[in-house]
Amino acid sequence: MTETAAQPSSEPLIRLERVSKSYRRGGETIQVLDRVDLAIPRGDFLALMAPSGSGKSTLLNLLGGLDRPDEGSILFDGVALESLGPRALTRWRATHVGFVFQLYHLLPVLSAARNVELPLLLQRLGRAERSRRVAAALSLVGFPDDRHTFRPTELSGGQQQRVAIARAIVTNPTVLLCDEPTGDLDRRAGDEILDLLVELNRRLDKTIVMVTHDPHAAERAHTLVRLEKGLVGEIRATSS
Amino acid sequence: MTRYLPLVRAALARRRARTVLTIGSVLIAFLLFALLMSVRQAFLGGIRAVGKRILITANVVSLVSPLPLADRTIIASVPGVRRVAYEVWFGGYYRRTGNFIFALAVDPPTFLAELRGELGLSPRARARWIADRRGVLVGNAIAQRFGWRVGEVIPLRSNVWRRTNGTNTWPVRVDGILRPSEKRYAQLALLHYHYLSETLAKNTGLSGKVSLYRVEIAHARDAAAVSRAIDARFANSPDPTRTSTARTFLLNFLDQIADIGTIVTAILAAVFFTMLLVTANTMARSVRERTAEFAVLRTLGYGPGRLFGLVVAEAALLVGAGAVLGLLLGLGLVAVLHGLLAAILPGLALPPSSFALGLALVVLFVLASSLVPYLQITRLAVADALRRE
Repeated sequence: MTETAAQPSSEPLIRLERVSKSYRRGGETIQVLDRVDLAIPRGDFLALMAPSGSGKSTLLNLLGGLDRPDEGSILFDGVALESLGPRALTRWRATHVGFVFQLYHLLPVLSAARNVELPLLLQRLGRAERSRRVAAALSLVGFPDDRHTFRPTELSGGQQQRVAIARAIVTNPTVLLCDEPTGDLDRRAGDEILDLLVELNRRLDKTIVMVTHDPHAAERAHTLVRLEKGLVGEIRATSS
Repeated sequence: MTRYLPLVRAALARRRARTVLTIGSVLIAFLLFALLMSVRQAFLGGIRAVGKRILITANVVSLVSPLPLADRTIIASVPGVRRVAYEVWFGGYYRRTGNFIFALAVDPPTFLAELRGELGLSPRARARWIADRRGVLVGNAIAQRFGWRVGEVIPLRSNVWRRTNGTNTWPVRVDGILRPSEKRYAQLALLHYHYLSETLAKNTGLSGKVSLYRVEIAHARDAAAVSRAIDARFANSPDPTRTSTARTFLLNFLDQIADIGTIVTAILAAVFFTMLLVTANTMARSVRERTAEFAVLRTLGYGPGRLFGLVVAEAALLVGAGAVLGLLLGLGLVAVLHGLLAAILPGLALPPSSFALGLALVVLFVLASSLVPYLQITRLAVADALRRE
């Protein structure tokens, strides 16, 4: 995790080209995304806002390779995700993407440190090196040293989200995909998490895509994208 | 792979009671497996050790009906026969009927010649016994059990025969202790046939007769032909015979009591099928409860194959722990039972092949109980699973 000054480059890291996605619910087909075009520059902090059911989580899942578009293409650093097979997509995800969820999704039976270690188990690293990286990631997100062995149920919501963020960044991914990261936190803890994401974007040049309902949270991003009825309604730079 | 061990252990520790109960059910299944395999070994293990060149000739009617001693010469004249020994079932016990002794009255020279080194008998004891018509050879297990020593005179009783003096007690002198490599001979007591036949009450019907013949043939491949030839000689006699290999004879004899092999297999099949249902249900429930966790692991870069590997490791730990504990407990219990039932089931022991079979069963059950989780993992819709949480 090398620190560089965040400067959104002109060449987009992620490019969506006429991406469509629909679901069948009952006998009805619901068009969630309809020929969406979007370019996300490297180093950007982008907030995605939309009413419920407007496809923002679907878009996040497509960006993370958890789902595939019905039509269109998603290019990540020039690589079309739809061209990758399941194994290659899994490897790509492990290398390039870190997920942060609203409900943290930490494994309750593991300590904070063990949770952060999970992505590192996929790499051929020794135990000492894994411990070093876990400690560095937890330190970076401001997680207290004396709580590394605590289980998620013994931590506050804000601390759990810090652990989740540490888990997302411990492999030094290119992009962080955050699904309502402050949605389950009070305002103070939410602000701290947003400060942390801003910090990660600025100091570590992480490209961040954050889905949020909260305008206050969206204002902390550089770019705001509004989705409306499966279409990109608005793209604008924020005041941040 | 050990780096995933904390993850696997934590998954099992998630619901401790369920894990312990599942391990307990596997433990009981493998304990039963160990006990039944030992019983099977006690009944059938000795049969496998029987020499392939030994035939048994008995009365075609039943074992209770004896054969004339004169048949020995006729059997010995059949081409392919090397040596003919004979024996009478003595039905022995010491002091009270509960102290059962597997005693045979035999012709010492031919019996010893047939078994040669298998009895673990010293040359001096052998010579002493052959020369002593009232002598007896006893297996070391019996000698140890009753504290008998060489030279001691024992009042050996029969629950089958009576003497001319009206009693059922034959005083015999211990001429030697058998120290055999095979456990089945350690429970054996051997008397002189002629001592028995000369002292038998006249109305026993055994005078000049024997229970069966042990026929040693030159080549195992000739067993069927020699058997047919022997039986043909007596086909029209008052005592027609049935000759078979010693192995077949013993199997048929045991089948008259019960089909041990089939009973053991049937019980084990029922036990393990139940165990499989328990383990498979545990694994399926465990994976279903952790659907969201598996989805999270997928977002971290864990592929379906790796997740399946984790589930297999969980199942292996679950079944393996139960199997190891069950087999070890079984081993201990069999050792205790062996001491208690030495007279009835001298060969009671867990055969080494049971451990290999146990390992094969563990592998089979791990894979079988991972089948449903495999389907759950491969069909996992990550986005849906995360949304449901």
